[in-house]
Amino acid sequence: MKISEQSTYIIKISVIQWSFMNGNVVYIVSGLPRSGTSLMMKMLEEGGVAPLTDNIREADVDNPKGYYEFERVKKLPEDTGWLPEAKGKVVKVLAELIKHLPDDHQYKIIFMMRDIDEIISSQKKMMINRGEDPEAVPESEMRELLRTYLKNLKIFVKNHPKMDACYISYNDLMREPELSIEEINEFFNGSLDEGKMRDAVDHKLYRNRY
Amino acid sequence: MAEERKHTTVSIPLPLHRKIKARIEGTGFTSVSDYVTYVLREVLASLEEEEKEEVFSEEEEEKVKERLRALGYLD
Repeated sequence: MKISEQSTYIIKISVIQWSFMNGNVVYIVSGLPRSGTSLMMKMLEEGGVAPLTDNIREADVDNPKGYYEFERVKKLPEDTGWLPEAKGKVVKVLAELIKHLPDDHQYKIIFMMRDIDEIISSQKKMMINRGEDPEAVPESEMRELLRTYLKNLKIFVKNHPKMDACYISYNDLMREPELSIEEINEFFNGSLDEGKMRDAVDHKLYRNRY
Repeated sequence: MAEERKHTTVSIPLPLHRKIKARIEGTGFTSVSDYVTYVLREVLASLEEEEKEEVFSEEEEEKVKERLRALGYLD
């Protein structure tokens, strides 16, 4: 890391820390669909962070424990009026939409990662359930598209002065929840209830979901 | 004029040092320092490569967005 990059990084972290202490941070759970974002929302809720949801999208066979969505998020970048309400809470913002979050807030993002083949397989199942054609784009092409898409998005987040991200692997979370939970709690300055978060991890759901 | 210093010392755990020493036996590396320098250069080059944004055309972006719409996550 160059000196100038180091300075920018230190300033970025300091501003985010200051905002955190002043309750000025919006917590975000992001990722691609089927990467474990709803599970992470549930875990954080259990851990003690209030979720911002409207429960309009109800639980279904693809997400039996609910989607934890807030419909107004989908109206980004036009509608940002809900952001003050999100301060100190956690809101699910799809990977595509974090690019449209305005610069006038600080964001701490838990970004869910998952094996791309598992994501594609799970999305395929969900598309079939929704009556959509999962083969509209060949699987091999979609794999490459999503890989590049995620890589570019991570660079965007890294260079964004108001965003701080913690990348959590859904696969690691399923294998060894304690390690991931510890990392998440550190990201939240140790304010979470790790035991309750651990109880929210449902391995049965993982086995059945793709 | 004093000669400009070109190297510095970095500490690594002794077990790792022993492991590297064993690994470079019979290779072209003449010291642990040479090997560690080589590995670090490779790692840094690879990280720099990873940090470069890849070209993503509008058509490709639209394919991803279409997928997200089909899944009900985007209007």
